[in-house]
Amino acid sequence: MLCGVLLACQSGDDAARAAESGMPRHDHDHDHDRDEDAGGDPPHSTGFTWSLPPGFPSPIVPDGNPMSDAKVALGRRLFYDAQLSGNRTQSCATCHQQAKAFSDGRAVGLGSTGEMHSRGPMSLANAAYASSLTWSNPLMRALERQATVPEFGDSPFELALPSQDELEARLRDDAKYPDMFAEAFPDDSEPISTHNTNLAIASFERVLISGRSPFDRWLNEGDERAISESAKRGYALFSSEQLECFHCHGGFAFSDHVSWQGEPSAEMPYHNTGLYNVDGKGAYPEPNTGVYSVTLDPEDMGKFKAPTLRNIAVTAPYMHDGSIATLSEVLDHYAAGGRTIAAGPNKGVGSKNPLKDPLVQGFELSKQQRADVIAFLESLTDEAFLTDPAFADPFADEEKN
Amino acid sequence: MTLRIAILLGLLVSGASACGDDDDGDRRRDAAASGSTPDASSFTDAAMAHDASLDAGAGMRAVTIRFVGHVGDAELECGSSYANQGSTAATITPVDFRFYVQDLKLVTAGGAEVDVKIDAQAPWQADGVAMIDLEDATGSCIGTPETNDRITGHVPDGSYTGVSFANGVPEALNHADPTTLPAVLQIPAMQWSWLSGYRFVKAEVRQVLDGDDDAGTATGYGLVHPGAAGCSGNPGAGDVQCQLPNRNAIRLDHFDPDRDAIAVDLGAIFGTSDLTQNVQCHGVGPGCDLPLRQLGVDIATGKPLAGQQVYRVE
Repeated sequence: MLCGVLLACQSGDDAARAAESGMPRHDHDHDHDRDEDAGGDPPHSTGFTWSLPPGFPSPIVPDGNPMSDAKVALGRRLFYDAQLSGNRTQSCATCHQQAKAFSDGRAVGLGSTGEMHSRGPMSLANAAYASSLTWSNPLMRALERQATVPEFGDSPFELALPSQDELEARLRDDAKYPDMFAEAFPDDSEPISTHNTNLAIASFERVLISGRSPFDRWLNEGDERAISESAKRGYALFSSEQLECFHCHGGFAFSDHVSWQGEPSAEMPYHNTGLYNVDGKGAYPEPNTGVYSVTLDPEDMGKFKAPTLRNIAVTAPYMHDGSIATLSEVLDHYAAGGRTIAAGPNKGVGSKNPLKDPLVQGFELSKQQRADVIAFLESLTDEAFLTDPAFADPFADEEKN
Repeated sequence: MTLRIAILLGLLVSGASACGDDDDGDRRRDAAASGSTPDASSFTDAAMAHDASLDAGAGMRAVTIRFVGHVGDAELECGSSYANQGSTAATITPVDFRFYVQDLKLVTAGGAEVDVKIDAQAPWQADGVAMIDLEDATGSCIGTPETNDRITGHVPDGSYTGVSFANGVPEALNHADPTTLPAVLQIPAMQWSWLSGYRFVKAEVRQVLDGDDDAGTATGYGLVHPGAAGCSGNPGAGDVQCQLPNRNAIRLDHFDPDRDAIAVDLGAIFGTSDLTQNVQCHGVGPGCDLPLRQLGVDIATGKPLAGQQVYRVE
């Protein structure tokens, strides 16, 4: 369906295979369960209208958490509210900053108690379509559930909320939340709850949709001047069997780890790209062993999600652990068919990682070609998304008024 | 009179479904329907209070299973030091000691295991699972001031001579969203949040030097956090399988619930570990080998293993 829209899908059998394997969706049971989880709130007519870019399908919304403008507005305020951290120093937005496509520019996250995370905060752009959340956790399927990790997790501490009771007490004492929760959850007799907090935050995250970059204007609206000739050449390279990028970073989200309404069920792909090979048998350094750390299946060692490439120019540094500083160096990694680390504890030849995805074979790029691919990647920066006032900090407005 | 019986029967039915042990479907819907977990718990409490009185008249009796914390032979106390622990005879002090209990049963003289229907009693018990909390956040302990050393429930009338249980959270709840679960499953410190499961046991001790229980130069730290590991599936659909369930199966004979308590030995969890070093078990890995064996779990399969060293009748 989307292959007609994005040329990335037009490369014959390979593209069809990528589209097939790369675009799973949640199964019905899961959605049904989230209905149960959702505070017994019967779906009611909310009049919510998506603002979807051309070529974007409708996101899957759990039955138990129908979209509404009131919920999105509440979720936006909660997302930016430092009361959501134990010591009131951080909010979700601390590590997910709009100007950086809701990432934070750090190699790895820094929590409210000063503890470092092992991995970098992911961009939230198009999180509504993610088949699973975080870098490499096939158990983490719902935004509603994922929110509990930064809120209450202690390995590491992120927002470090001490308890659901404490959060709820703070929200009840707030000047605005009692009314906002009542409006967002009109059928609940006691609308302020941690569960409803996370339903609202998830609703806000679902509207963070990015698809109006210069690249999109060129592709969908035929605006030949939207992007440079270099970027167009870069896109052709990106879509070529020489570079193979599009297999994992294809489709409207430039990621194969997406689901949407009406898409037939498929698996959730994760890939080992040969970033490490510390033991010669494919191992990634602890604690970032990828899907393996969840499943303990040896085949899952070093497997991570292919993150979206939308806004990739503003989300440096790169990879799950921020271990590559620039897009040019990312191209070095893939051109080599895997990264070689010559010395130190992570020493190893990634290209010889036996668990590496077979599509990471390496390639050669001229200086001009490299510049072209980077120009293409930069054309995916969606300024409207990065500056959309609807996604910005609402407390700034409250202070003005 | 007839009306009263009808009401009681109604309560029995609602209580029974609210207390269904491993099949949590109805209970989770109840919790979700009331919008917030504390409310759900108090709702269930009310039903269960009536349920209990009725059970007593229907051939059921109340039972209380009590735990007593130890380090070796000495009673466990936050802020106290315990000498001669582990392979290097280190002196340690408790830091944390909390654990979940599921599948609680009493054993008849004939050897039959009979389910203890765990009362719904916020914040410590619900849905067939209870948490024992033997630290009070004083001294070197890091948990909460509230403690809980017992589990209350109901069993059919009769005499019992043994007890059995597992450290764990029933699989149907283990990967559910904690914002939809009762208070006993809301405690952040007991969750492996990003793996979306629970720490079945949180046992931590710190080495102390020269009676200095407050810090400093000692390097040893023992931390044992077992939980189900190697999991895949879809938690939202209640469909998760774990390669390593990591639940033990404790059975203690010669136990009279009316007279005896269960002694649980924090020091024994670390066995012959060198407690002048870091001893860490996070569900899998070499650091779990000894502690899991002490707790009665086979590290290779995650299944129960005979020969646990942590629990005894007192």
